[in-house]
Amino acid sequence: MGSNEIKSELIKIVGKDNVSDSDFELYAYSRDLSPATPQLASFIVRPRNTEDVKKIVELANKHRIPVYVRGCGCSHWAAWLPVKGGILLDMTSMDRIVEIDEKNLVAVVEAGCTWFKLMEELRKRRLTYLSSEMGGPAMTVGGSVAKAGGGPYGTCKFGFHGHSDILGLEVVLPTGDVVKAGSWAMPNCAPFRREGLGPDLTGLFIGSEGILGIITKVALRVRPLPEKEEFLYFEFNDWRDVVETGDAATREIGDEFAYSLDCSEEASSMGNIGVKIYVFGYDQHIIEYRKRVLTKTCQKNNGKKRDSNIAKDTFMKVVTGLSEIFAAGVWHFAGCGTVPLHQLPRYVEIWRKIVQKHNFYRSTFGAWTFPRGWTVYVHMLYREPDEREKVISISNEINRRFFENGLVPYGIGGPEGLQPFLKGKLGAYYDLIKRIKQCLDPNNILQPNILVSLNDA
Amino acid sequence: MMLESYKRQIYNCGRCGYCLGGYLDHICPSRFIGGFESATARGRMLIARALLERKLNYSQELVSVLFKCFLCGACDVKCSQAAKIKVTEITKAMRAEAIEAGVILEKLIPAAKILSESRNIYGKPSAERASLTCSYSKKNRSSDLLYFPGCVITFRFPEIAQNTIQLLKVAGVDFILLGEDEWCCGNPFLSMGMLKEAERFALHNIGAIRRKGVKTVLTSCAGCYRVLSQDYPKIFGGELPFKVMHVTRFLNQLVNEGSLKLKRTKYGKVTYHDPCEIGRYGGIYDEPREVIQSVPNLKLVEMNKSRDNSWCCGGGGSVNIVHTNLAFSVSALRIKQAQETGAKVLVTACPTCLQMLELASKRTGAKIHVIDIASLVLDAIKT
Repeated sequence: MGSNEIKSELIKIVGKDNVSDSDFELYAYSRDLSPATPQLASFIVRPRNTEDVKKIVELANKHRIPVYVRGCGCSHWAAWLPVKGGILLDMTSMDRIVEIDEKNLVAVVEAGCTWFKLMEELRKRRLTYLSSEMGGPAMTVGGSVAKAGGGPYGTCKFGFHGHSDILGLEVVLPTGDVVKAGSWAMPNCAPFRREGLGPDLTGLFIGSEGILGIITKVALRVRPLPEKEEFLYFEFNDWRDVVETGDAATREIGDEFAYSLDCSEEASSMGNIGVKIYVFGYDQHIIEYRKRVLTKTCQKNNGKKRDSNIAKDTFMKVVTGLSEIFAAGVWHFAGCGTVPLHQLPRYVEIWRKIVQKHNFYRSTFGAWTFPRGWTVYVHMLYREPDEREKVISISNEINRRFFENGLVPYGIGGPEGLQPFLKGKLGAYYDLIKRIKQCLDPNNILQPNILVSLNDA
Repeated sequence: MMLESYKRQIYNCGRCGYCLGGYLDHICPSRFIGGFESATARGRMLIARALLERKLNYSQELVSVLFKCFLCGACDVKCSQAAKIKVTEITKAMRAEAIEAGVILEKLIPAAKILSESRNIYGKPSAERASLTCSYSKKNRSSDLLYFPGCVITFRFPEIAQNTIQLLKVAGVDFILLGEDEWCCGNPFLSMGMLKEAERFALHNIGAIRRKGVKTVLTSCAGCYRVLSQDYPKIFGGELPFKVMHVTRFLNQLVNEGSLKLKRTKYGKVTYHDPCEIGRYGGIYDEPREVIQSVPNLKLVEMNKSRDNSWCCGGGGSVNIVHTNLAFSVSALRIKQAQETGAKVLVTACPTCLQMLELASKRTGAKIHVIDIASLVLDAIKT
């Protein structure tokens, strides 16, 4: 089938206003936030609902057309760049909030709904979704779930999206079948439990980077909005002290004292570690108690108390946008993933040595806790196009060294993402993912060359 | 300025997406009507980059998409907290480059021709400018203040000029007008990318105003205000020999010094729409609100999107010439936002906003009355 015929078929499905193959449109969709080479799709398609997605996938399957899936396009590791061309689905038209069940505390949203939009609606009902991304207002729920992400907001207490807050998914499989996972799969049952009959199929799709199916709806646990919140800001000089603080804050699993514990060090002032803490609770006495204990813990570990407004300012802007971090240039992430609680300092040392070696000080090392672990990240501000090669070289070194030390990434994306650093190193585990992929997507149409390259040995 | 001069800014876009907002109708009216990434500031920066790198050429289709941008400046405000890219300037540069490349949209041609020939956007004889305000525009009079009504007020909403003039008289403010010598400020040419014509019009008006020897130019039009105060100095090549003032600031000054004494009006609860060209472009947010709040029995209620977060009226960027229905959908949404406040009256301070919002109010059957700020103040003086 020729390109014109495919376009006509796509128009039949979604209407002419939702399909484009204009050269400028393909360029507008050619990059994510990473420095990866621009990739051009053949068609940009904006599905309006699950039925559209199903029909598009069936068409693609019939004609062996690659399909890539994009939320707001903010991935940092080429997670959706159409390296094989084909159809690029822009999911942002599917942004409806399907239901907010205030009694059972469940929200169901379409995958293209942003955290920002969901939070706005939840707040009107004095509810909140407590674990969220930090990528700004455009970040979609579906995109986050596909990479099992999570920002500093709420992670200390609730972990990542894959932890417990995703209660079910609606997914269009690469063959066009529409499935619901979790309790939602049972006849006449609403989504209220992530696990349903048999294995945890909700978990199968969380973090799958979209290779096993297209997430079209997400059911989420919501909670009453805490009426009280407090913030603390401490400065430390030694990451070992920070680790002890994180240890104390998350040791009582299930009753973590902090809601968020976010730490960072600028390369330009190594040894100065800012620790921002968000304390929340439904009762002022509990908050005061937690605040007292956390203050004592920080001070015991040599933390110096500083202006709490610095922490408040950050946490209040996590969802609405920490936009000023982009002020000094283009932002590139490296070494993103999770590490065990007591291994954090080794990653800091690796980062320090690399940035010193390259004399590149527009960089920050950051970490935030989740129960018994840390999420780590390195970000670098650089100028395009002059510093692109340099920043890629530095980030490659950071990624390589972090992976050698056991980093667990959120995702690895495409060939210009993090795939090369793990090639040939994941053995049977990676083979299992490939076999699942081959089983669900026999024609390898969905996100080809993302997460797995089926041609690789 | 052409695209090349914005290269550093274009390459500085990290595609963070803050300009997109959290949903289609959150920040950007262009995204609201366009949907695709090309209609967003972020997407436009990637297109600009591809144009700079000669991977793309201007086409009718591309230029049509460029004319989905209302030049409202909402993305500039968002990006001022991030990479500080002047997206609207870059968009205008792209439109100007398209003209240079010979790519002009059919729909723009008649509008440009009428404007070039008649020196106003309605194709009316210049003599009508003089007749509108002839009783105040005696030849050889001199004053420190010149009132510049602009095309939309002169030919579409003459009552705004008449009300403003009446207020100036009540306050004892002496002023003069250009009459026939007033040409369109050039705003439509600037937004269409026709820079040479814009320059010709600007230099004419600057010359005419200079010859009058005034110290201040007062205008009731937000578009004229922006062009006179921000574009004219660039075209003139330095500081203008006169100050430019928008009527909202002037009225506020007159109220504060007691020259206009405001009484109760028939209006109860009102809301205020910030015109982009005095708000985001000129930082004039407080003065119109202060004027409204000076009226004893008025209650000002804010829309959900106000001040630098205000939603465009749909009249900016020449979008309504190229994509009339889409522009209307933006106006209709603004009317809906105004209705949500419960106000029965929507006050604004720009004739283009008035035109768009009045039309949207009528077409959508909204029970909200749209008025200009001068009408409100005059009402508060008469009653």
